[in-house]
Amino acid sequence: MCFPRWKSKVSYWVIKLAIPGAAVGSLLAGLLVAGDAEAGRGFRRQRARYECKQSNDIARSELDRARRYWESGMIYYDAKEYAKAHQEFLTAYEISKLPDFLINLAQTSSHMGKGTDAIKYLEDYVQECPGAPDAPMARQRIDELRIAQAIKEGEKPPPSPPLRLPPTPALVLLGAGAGFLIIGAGLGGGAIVASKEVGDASKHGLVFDTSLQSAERRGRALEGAAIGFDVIGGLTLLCGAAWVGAFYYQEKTGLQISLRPSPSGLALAGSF
Amino acid sequence: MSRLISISAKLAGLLGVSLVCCYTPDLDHHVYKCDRGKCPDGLYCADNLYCGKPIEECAILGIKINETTALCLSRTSPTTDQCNAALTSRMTCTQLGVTPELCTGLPGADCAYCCRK
Repeated sequence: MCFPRWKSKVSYWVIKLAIPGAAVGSLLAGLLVAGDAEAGRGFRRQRARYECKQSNDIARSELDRARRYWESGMIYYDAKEYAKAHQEFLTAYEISKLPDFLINLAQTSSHMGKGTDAIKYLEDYVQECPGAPDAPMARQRIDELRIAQAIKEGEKPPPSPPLRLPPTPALVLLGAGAGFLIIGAGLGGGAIVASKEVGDASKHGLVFDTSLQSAERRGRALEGAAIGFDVIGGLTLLCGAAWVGAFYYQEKTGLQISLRPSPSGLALAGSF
Repeated sequence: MSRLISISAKLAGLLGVSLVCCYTPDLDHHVYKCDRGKCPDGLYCADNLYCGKPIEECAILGIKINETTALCLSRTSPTTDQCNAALTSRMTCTQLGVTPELCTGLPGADCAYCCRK
């Protein structure tokens, strides 16, 4: 069984977190290579019984599989391809359930900006191995990540309050006003067409006959209707806009404005 | 809020467009014949022939072609002119620059260009 030296490969933090003289991987290596004839090329470390909770025995073939994923993950990690490294470490963890991989997973998560995941992995590690020599460092790292998370959250703009729509009648007024104006514009267009017909210079010298007289009447009628719709539409629109404006003003300032009937007519009342 | 302002601006534009309307035929660049005395609004039938309106440049009725030139209609006595002699003269209208030439197409009526003196 031959393992590379399990150190200086992960990251500074992993090295710092791991016990002196060994990287995180060395813990796994220790478990794997204890008693191995070629173990001199790797670190030999067996966890003490009190360090981690008891776990089921893992078949050696499974440990070998986990090791291959770990090695692959390390290559990705060195290449700063943290997502791929994370996936490899995760697979290794799922195969072996060795808590040491939780630190690697925390580290890759941290590199990917997933602070919450990193905290979760470290918490799981501390829970699994409360007596491990690096457990205090893991707890310290959890605190650091939480502070970083809080700072990050603080930098985010405050969530904007949900947009409240103005009262339905105000919107109806706006819509009706716009509708009246559109109708008025259409009628005005008709009046302009009639106007062009009567004012057509090519009709020079012709009799102002009944069709032209009809066009003139039509133009006048359309003009009157257009002006009527424009006035009604404009007033309706203004009322709706004033209502909507008052609504948003109240939303912004908290000032309550109301129009109430009074003995002398209508009264505008306001309150804070 | 900016969306509200944008919508308001569009509605104001709609209001503006709506108000640019109305029945305003251009009756200053052609002459209608009266139909049993009927003429477009604002015009009157001159000699039961042509539609014009009372303007200061003309002795009786006419249409104002531009700031200095009017087309004056209606028959007058042999001693008077269609032009309002106090303000205008057909004699000064040598260079009319008016197209089309309106009087040419109006047989049966006295038609004259009267220009400001």
